[in-house]
Amino acid sequence: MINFEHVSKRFDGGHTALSDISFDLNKGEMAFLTGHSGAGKSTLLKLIMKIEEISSGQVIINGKNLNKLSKNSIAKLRLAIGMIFQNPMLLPHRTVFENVALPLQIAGMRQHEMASRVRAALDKVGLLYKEKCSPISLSAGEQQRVGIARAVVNRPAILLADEPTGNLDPELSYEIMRLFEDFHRVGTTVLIATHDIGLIAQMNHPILTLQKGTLFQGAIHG
Amino acid sequence: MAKNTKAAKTTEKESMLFKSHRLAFRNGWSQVVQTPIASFVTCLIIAMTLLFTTSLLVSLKTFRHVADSLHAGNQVTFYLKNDTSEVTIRTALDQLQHNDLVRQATYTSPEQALRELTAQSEFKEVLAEVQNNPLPPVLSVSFNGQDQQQIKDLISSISQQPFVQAVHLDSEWFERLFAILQFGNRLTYLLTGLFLVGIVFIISRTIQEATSRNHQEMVLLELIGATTAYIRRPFLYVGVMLGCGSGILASLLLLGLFWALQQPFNTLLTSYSLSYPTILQPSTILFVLLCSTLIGWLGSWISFYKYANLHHN
Repeated sequence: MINFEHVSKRFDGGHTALSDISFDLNKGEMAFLTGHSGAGKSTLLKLIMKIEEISSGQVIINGKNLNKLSKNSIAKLRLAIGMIFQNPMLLPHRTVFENVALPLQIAGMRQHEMASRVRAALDKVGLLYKEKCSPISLSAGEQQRVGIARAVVNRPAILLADEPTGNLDPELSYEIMRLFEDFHRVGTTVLIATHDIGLIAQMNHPILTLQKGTLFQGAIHG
Repeated sequence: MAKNTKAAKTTEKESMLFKSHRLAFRNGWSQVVQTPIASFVTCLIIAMTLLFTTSLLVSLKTFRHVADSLHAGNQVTFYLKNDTSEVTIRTALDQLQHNDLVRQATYTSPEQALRELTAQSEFKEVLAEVQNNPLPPVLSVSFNGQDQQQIKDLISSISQQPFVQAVHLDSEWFERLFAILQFGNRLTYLLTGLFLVGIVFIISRTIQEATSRNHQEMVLLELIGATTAYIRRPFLYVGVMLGCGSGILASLLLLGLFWALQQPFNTLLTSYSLSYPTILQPSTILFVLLCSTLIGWLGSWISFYKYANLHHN
C-alpha cells in the first residue's frame, strides 16, 4: 500500500532530510514512525501526501507512482488519504460538524449521505453531542478527535498521523492510539509518526525508526 | 451497458460540479456579508468610478448625436455652370442620391430658382427688369455626418467636376467641433481604460484581503484534497458579486443622474429645433452590468493567481 524505494529528500539549501529510505507497508498494516525531532518523520509523511517533492527514488501509494502524478491526481490522492496533524487545523468559524464534513464536500457527496457519514465519524470519536459546537469551545483532546473524525470521514484506505498525541496527556494519548487501532482493525493502513516511545511500547506494531534521515531499524519489509 | 455507465458517470460529474458551484456561491456570499461595510464601500467606490466613466461615454455619445444632427442640417451648395446640360445634371444628381454618405441631394433649376425668388415680394420689381435669367443651376447636398474625411473627399471630387462653377460650404466650425469631439472621444476612452484597470486593482485588493483572512482554510483544503479550482471558486464568486453589485449600484446612480438631466437637456435641444435622443439606453445599463461583473471576475482571478504563485513558490 505504501512503498518507498531508495527515497531521498534534499532541500534547496542542501540539507538532506531523508536518505535512501526503503520500506513497504502492506494493505491493512499499522506501523509507527519514530525518531527525534528533525529526524525526518514529518518530511516522510509529506512525501506520501506529495506536499514535498522527492529528490530521488520513488514512492508508490496504492499502486500509483507519485513521480508521475498530475496536479488533479495529487488532489485525488490526498482525498484518498486521511491525514491527522499535530495541530488539528480546525476552522474556528465553522461548527464541528462542518469541519468534519469538509472532505465530503470536496468529494461532492449528497447532503443526507454526508450528514450520516459525519455523524458516524463523530460518534466513533465520541463527540457526536458536540456536532453543533465551535471548535474553539473544545479541549485539546476533543479538537484532536475532531481532526481524526475529519480524517476518517471519507473512509480512506490510508491513515497518516503526524504527532497526533503531541499536545495531549498520557491518558488521552492512549485513548487516541486505541482509536487508530480500531481503524486498523477494519482494514485501514495506518502510519503514525510519534516520538512517544513509552506509548508505542505499549502497542504491538512494527516500528520504523529514523535517525538523521536514515531508516535506522525495524524496517518492515524494506 | 458501457454507454449507460459512461452516461451515469457524466451525470454524477455534472452534479458534483453543480454542488461545488452552489457551495462556492454560498461561501462567497458569506464572505461578502461577513464584512458588510467593507463590501459596501468597495462597491460604492467601484460604482462611482463606473458612474464617472459611463457618464463621460454617454455624454460624449449624446453630443456626437447632436453634432451629427446639426451637421446633417448643413447643406453644401454646388453652383453649376449655366451651359451644363440637363442630362449631366440628372446623372450627377442620381449618383449623389445613391451615395451612402449623402443624406439628401436636390436639384434646383434656374427657372425654379427664379420662380422661388419672384415669389418673394421684395425681389419682384428688381427681377421684372432683368431680361435673362442670371441664376445658375444648383445642386444642394446634405451629408450623413459619420466620416468627415470621406465627406470632405466627396465634396472635393464634386467640386472638381467640369460643370461645377462654385461651391458654398460653411462647415469650418463643424470641423472644429468634430475635432474637439474626437479629442474628447480619445480622452474618454483612455480615461475609461485607466479607470477600468483601477477597478480591477480595487477588486483584486479586496480579494487579496479575503485570501489572507482565509489563508488557514485554503491551506487545509489543499491538504485534504481540494483542487485549485475548488479553492479558487468562492473567491471568483466574491469578485463577481462585488462587480455585479457595483454594476447595479452604478446603474441606479446613472438612471437617477440622467433622469435629472433629461428635461433640461431636451429643453436645450428644442431651442435648436433638434430631436432629442434618449440619453441612457437599456443597452448601456446592460453593458455596465456585464462589464462590472467581468471586471470583478478578472480582478479576483488575478488576485488568486498571485496568491497561488506566492504560496507555491
